[in-house]
Amino acid sequence: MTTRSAAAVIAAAVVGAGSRWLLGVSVGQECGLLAANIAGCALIGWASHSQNRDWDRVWLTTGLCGSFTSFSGLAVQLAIGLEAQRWSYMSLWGAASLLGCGIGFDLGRSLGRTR
Amino acid sequence: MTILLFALAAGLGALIRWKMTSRWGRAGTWALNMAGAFGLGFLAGVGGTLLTIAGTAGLGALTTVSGIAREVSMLASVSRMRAGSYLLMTLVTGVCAAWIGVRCGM
Repeated sequence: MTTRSAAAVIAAAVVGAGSRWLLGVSVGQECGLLAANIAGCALIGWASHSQNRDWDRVWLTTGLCGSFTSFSGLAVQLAIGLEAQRWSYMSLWGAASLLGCGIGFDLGRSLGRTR
Repeated sequence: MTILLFALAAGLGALIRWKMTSRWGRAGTWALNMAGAFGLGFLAGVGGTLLTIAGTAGLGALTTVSGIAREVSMLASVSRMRAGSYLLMTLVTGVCAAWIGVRCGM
């Protein structure tokens, strides 16, 4: 961990977390989180399979994508659904997240490979 | 001040995740995701600035979905069974951790 790469990861993390927060404020917490998770998975799929240098990958994958997406937010949405016994909501939210992230990652990976 | 604290929390969360995943790999990602899910569940009822800084920025940056997607993809190239098991285990334990956090925070 060099100073330069640590600074890049911090800067990218601020942009990632800030963008997720803005997205949540703009379109609602649930839709914003879902969109951020799917977009972040697409971006990391692209970054992991494109020809970027290692230094680029650290700030992009660990900093930006990692902070743009949030597992804690996803888990808490499902836990709140569980607590309220909203089974259909939980199933829909969970399926949308799993499918969306999987499809997003594959799409990003395909784009990264064809670059 | 809120923006500064938000930036500090997000940066710190990402740095801890980077350090942990570099050192412990998938186990590090899993441990942070569980801790973050519990923490955010605990804070869920608080709301306001504390939730934005500690929850959205700090715990949000500490945990990751994109990292899981990448790890599942890497595992799937070796064994689909292992990839599926890892994904299922992460989801189930994460929701349990968040649920315990929600209950503790009430």
